[in-house]
Amino acid sequence: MGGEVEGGGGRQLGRVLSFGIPDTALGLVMGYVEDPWDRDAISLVCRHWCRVDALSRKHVTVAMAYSTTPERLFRRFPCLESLKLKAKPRAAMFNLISDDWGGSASPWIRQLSATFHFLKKLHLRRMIVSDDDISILVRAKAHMLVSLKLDRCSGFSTPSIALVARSCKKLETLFLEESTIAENENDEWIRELATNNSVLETLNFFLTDLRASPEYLTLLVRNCQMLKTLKISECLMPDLTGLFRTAQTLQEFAGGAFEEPGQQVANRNYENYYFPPSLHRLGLHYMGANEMQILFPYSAALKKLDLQFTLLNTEDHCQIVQRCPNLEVLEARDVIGDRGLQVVAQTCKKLQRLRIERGDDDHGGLEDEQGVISQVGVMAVAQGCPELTYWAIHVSDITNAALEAVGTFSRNLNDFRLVLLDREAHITEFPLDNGVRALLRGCTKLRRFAFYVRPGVLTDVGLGYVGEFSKSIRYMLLGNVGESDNGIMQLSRGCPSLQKLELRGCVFSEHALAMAALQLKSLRYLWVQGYKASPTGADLMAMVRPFWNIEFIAPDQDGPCPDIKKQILAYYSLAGRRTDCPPSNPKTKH
Amino acid sequence: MAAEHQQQPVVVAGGSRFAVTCGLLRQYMKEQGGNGARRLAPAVAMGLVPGADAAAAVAEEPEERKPVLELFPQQAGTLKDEQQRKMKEPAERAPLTIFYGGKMVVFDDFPAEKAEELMHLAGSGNAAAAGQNALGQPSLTDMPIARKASLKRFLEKRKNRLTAGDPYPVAATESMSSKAAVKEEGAPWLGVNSALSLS
Repeated sequence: MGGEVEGGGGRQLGRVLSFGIPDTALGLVMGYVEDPWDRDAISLVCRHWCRVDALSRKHVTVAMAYSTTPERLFRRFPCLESLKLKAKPRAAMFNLISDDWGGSASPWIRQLSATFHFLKKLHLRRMIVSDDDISILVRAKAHMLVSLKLDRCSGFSTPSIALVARSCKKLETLFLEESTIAENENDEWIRELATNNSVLETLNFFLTDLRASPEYLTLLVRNCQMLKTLKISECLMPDLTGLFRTAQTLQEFAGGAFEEPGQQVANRNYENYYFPPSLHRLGLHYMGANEMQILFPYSAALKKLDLQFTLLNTEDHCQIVQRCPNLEVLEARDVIGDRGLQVVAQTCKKLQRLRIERGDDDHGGLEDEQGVISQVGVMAVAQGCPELTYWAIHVSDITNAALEAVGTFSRNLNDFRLVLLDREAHITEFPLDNGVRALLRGCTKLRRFAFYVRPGVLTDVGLGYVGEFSKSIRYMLLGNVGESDNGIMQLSRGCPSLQKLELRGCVFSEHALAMAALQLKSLRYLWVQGYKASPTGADLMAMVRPFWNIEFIAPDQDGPCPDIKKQILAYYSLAGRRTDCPPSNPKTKH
Repeated sequence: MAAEHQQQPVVVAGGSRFAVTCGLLRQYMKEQGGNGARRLAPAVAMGLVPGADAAAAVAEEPEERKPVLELFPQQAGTLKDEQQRKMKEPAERAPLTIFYGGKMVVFDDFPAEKAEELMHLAGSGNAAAAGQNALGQPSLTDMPIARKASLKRFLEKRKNRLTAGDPYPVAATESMSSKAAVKEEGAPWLGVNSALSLS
């Protein structure tokens, strides 16, 4: 759709169409168009269609909060009901972005509290949200708010959550996953939520340091009878038996904890632990071999299993997975091993999402020695799990044949991410140019692609293949790829849909990066760390163009790890340059 | 809005004024340097005067942090255009903002070729002063594969749990409650934004 309306002829066609369709009909049809990409295309047809779309658009995701202003967003979409904003670069989730980078939600919250009269759902990701922000939001939107997600955010404290809990009686989703939250009133906020809200469906404070008492959690579950998802911080499983007996509608649970070795009660037995029958998605923290029987009675019904935060070895993973034929989502660390993946391939025929994270492979790590993933495991999964749409994997070895297998069998993939770890000094085969070509040729539905390897594995020729065969890829992360500037130039000749590119540890010069940015037609976001830097960043000036913000963080020689800080972030913005750059930068005049 | 502000540079004859402003800048830096250059300059984003003098001249004001360079070219096209533009409009001007030693100086109209000269000067000066060499071929040790913060925290806790089993646990609980996120110092920062007006 997008392509048809761009050219001159298409624009004319658009006018004819818009004149031919009565407004009421257009409005009705528009009500059924939900895909933002379709919406974007529609809004390009003519001013009238753009207006109809603007007034009927219910949800907008602003992938980079600095790419526009709250005022501008409101002017275009005054009737928004749902807004998602992301600020800090994705690298912040890997501790690669300094804490003072920026990303304050304040200007947004002020604007949307004052205007956006229909806003019911707010999702802030990787932003700084202050207690004041939350109180402003609550004052303006408490009667409206159905969903509040503070996703990997920081800057606020528990009394603010209590305020939300007390005031937002319609709140169905409260999501705080992996946020850094100051704890000022213990878990009083859970009691507030339990006593003031009866419609809550999702409560998520997974991967936070918030304490939660079993009493308040049980009270919450008793009062919020619609609760379907409960993801909590660490809380001992033996104390949650009452909760699970009460939570008859619960579908998903994650978090909890098992006793530390020193604290264990003798003869504790989890074989008969009760979970409600509706529970199909589980992730238990610190589950070890002694506790894994807790899953067995329920494993056949499990659709999602998160084993990332467990203490299991390879064999334990095999034991569990072979009991879970209905898994649609599986997450684990690479300790699952090739053997575990072979069991996955044999057992989990409905698997749609598979994430294998990097385990403890540092020197002196404690992971199971068998827990290594190579071409063997990758090939098995490719052949055994044809439904996969999302696959992220950390491997210790990989071959062209395995990548080819992915291209041959995993035709439904829309997101594939591979990281080649550095725990093995030697890998079986490189370069992997041909394997990558086969993968991209086969997986035609790919929208996101990450390939993080080591020098020599993907050559300039391989980067040329990536450019050539990634027609529909919108997001790409490449690490340690290419041999020279020619590589990135080859890549940038293709990739017609690439909007967001992240590069790390590559040999490209600033000038080549700048030229590539100019050449990639759809690019609107570029993040680079580790490149051939010039002392001043002056070569980046080659990519200066209208509405293109360039932020260059020079290495700090006093710091402990200068390379971590040296990075380039460039993005299209209608907002001009941002004013809340790191405080290390003196206040600017504008 | 920033872009709107940048729309109003006063176009004044440039060559002589540049020299005057540079002189002022130099004098200004010397004055600041008088506060006492107690330490060597940190990574200087842009050294205006090459050599150790410039490095020493970076002021040590309490509130000041890292030197930063900001450039706001008024007009910019693709590189191809730029080359042609340079030939056609040699006297193009744009506002230039320089952050140096924690202080900001704004030049309202700054000739493009002078800016280039300045960048060149700054580049050579910095390389000499800071002894900084460009990043070479990155190897695996230069830039280790980053681990997700959530997993990093878990693996640390896990290690503590496993070692807590031994009779002499070493501050296991202490590190369990502490967040893994490392507070980093701010870095020198350069912001560049084209200065076209918005509708």
